[in-house]
Amino acid sequence: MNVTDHIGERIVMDNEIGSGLDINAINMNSWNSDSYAAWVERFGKPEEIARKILADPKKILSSLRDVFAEVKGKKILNMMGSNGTKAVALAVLGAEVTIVDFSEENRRYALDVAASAGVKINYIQSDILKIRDYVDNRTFDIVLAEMGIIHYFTDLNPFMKIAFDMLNNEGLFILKDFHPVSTKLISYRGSTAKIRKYKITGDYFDKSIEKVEVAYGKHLDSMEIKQFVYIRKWTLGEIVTSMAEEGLIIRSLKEEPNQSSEVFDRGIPKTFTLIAGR
Amino acid sequence: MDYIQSNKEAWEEAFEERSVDWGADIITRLNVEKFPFMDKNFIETLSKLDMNGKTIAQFCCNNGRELMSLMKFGFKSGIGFDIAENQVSFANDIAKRANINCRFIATDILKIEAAYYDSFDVIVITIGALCWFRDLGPFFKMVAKCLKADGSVFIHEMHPVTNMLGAPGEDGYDEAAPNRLVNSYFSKVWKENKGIHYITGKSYKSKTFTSFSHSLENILNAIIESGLSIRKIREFDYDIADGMFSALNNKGVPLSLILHASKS
Repeated sequence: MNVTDHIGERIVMDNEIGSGLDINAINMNSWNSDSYAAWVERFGKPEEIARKILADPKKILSSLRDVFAEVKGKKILNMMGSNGTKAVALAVLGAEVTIVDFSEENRRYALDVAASAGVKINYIQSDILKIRDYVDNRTFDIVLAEMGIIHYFTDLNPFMKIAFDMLNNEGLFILKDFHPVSTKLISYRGSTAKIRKYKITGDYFDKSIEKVEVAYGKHLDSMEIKQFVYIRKWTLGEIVTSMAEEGLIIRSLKEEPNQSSEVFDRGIPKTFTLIAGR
Repeated sequence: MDYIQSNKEAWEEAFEERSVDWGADIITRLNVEKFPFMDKNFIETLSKLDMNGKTIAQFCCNNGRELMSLMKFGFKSGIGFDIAENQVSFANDIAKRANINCRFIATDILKIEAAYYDSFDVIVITIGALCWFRDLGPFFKMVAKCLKADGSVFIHEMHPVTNMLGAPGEDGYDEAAPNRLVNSYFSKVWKENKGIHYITGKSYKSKTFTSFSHSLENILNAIIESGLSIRKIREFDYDIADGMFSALNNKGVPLSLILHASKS
């Protein structure tokens, strides 16, 4: 088992990209297969997760709850917002939320959750890089991209440019994702915190594209045909630099140890949150 | 005694204990090499700027050899700041003999005089500077104060990933497995009495050095809070810490970085 578990079992490294493979089309197809059923497995039926969101919307936001201290009346863009649970939580808190995501299955689940929660969200089914076909620049107070987003891009600059363009003058771009030190470098042995030993075994500078099982696949044991996506893992230097190159002024970086355990992996950065403005 | 005063005394002791050849080659190498003592990627980064007629400073400049090397870019003048009085005196002597328009000033970086505010187009900070400051906030506020309105700071440091690695001689370090993690990535305080090897060439019972490991979060946020903007981070897979992590060179481990931030 290695640290790429969060996105499913690592399948194979290959160089098919050089042969003109359209990875965006493949990724889009994979995300349009069974994700609705996967989200039902993961979160329950829309009305079930809606009840949980209504009971404690800030809990759904997890470690981002501090960032979203006050969202009432704020216009929020949730880039590639997937199943919509975060967006619905933000809508329950009074925000006006737009998701842009290219999956019809994700869209159906998110809209069903929103309807069950009694809130409205605007779900645009589109490649995020084509958002300008639907939304004007400088529309949003907050642009959010979180957990497993940036590895879908083989060039980060167009993605960062979208974030920059969508922000209004006082707006904030919030990017939370898996920390490259964990995803690219470190592996471990040992099933308990006391005996667990860590080593650097990965290549932080690896620029290759990986073929991995789609993220929702781990929630679908019954899935007959596995769906795969292609991802590129970025270094923190590449992420920060691409933000700055597209005009984003970085306001803060937070590097977080494991948020889901008090004992495992405490001295290792597992996630990061970058906040930037115009 | 506060840790800064203690470090000052330990650094001055290290200079007194220096090996006979420490600093002896500065003038010769300045005469025959283009940018001696400097990392090629750091030079490549700086070479993209027009330095002609500009002013440069180095914070924590040691014996001045790096600043004197960088003067070859064509800077009008340079000033190096370091807390060790004997290092600074040595650096001033070399600069005078080499006829380089540099001055070196002995001061705690956090107490640089107001006369130097808004004075520099470029400030450089190289390996082994940030670790001497518990809180990087005041350090980078001083960087921001000393830069001119459109000035830039370039930092060439160990990558924070090295915070997690063991170094030869350290508890938990395994020579057969230098890739094993033995420390936390996040902040840690170090107290050592083993001296400074790269200056002295030996181990000796030294005065106490207190240093601090910093995460990238610590570094970036201190820069940002000083009012500077992050422009670029380049990461490299080779050691710049006197061979401390060289067993992992060229193995895909980020061991060093160059960070550029600017005031405008």
